[in-house]
Amino acid sequence: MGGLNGYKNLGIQLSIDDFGTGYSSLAYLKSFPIDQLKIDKSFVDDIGVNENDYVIVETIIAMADRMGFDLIAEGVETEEQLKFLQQKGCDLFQGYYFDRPLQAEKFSHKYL
Amino acid sequence: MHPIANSRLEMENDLRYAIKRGELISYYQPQINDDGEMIGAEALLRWRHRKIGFISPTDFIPLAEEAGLILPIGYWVLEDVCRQIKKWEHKHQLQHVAVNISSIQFKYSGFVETIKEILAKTQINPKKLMLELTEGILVEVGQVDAVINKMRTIKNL
Repeated sequence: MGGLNGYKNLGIQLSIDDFGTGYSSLAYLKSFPIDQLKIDKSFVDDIGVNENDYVIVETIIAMADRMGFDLIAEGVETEEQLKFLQQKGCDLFQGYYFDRPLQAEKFSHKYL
Repeated sequence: MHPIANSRLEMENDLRYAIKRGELISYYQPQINDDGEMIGAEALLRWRHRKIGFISPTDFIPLAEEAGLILPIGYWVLEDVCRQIKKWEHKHQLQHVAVNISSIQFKYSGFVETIKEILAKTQINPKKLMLELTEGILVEVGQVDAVINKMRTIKNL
């Protein structure tokens, strides 16, 4: 997925952390040279628990997709959350379901 | 033992020297794609206090903010992560490493220079660095144009 404004992959990338918890308007979002939105853990936590929140996640995913932002979900802890996110079209994940933060050497040994 | 057990002043002082004593450590959490492959990482800071042990960023970042230590700590983290990116530069499956930038850091007038300096020191491919900004940065009233300009400048470094 390439950003709408064509900034993608030229240099330093910008991601918006904890997305969905602030008050940024969608109209504004388009004008920022952002590559990625990171769905806040609080929304992921409530998948399968709180119906209102998973409506928010669905909406964020659909919007990010339409606007050409990459999307990542943080705080993924269960298979149910992963499946839901995948179904809705989110394709990058981070969280204890996969692994905890590791020291550089361990990370290197395990993943590189 | 919990940080509360030490006096606030003592903790601030300890944090001031944490960089010199090598007590700050960057941890890396993998980011995984739809096929289950690692494609990137987020760097997360830990403080290993010499007496208390590990202290979570949720406890020490507010302390750092109050003590005016966010900028030096932010500098240290950015440089440490860029050095690591350099070590991993031939690992092509690792597309980027993300670093958290506080709004204090982003707003700091010398922030662009800081990044420039660290890129020059570490000689990394800037594409491998991802900055995670808080949503609050986008909603600074009356600052939208300035924020967009700063972001563009950073992306062109």
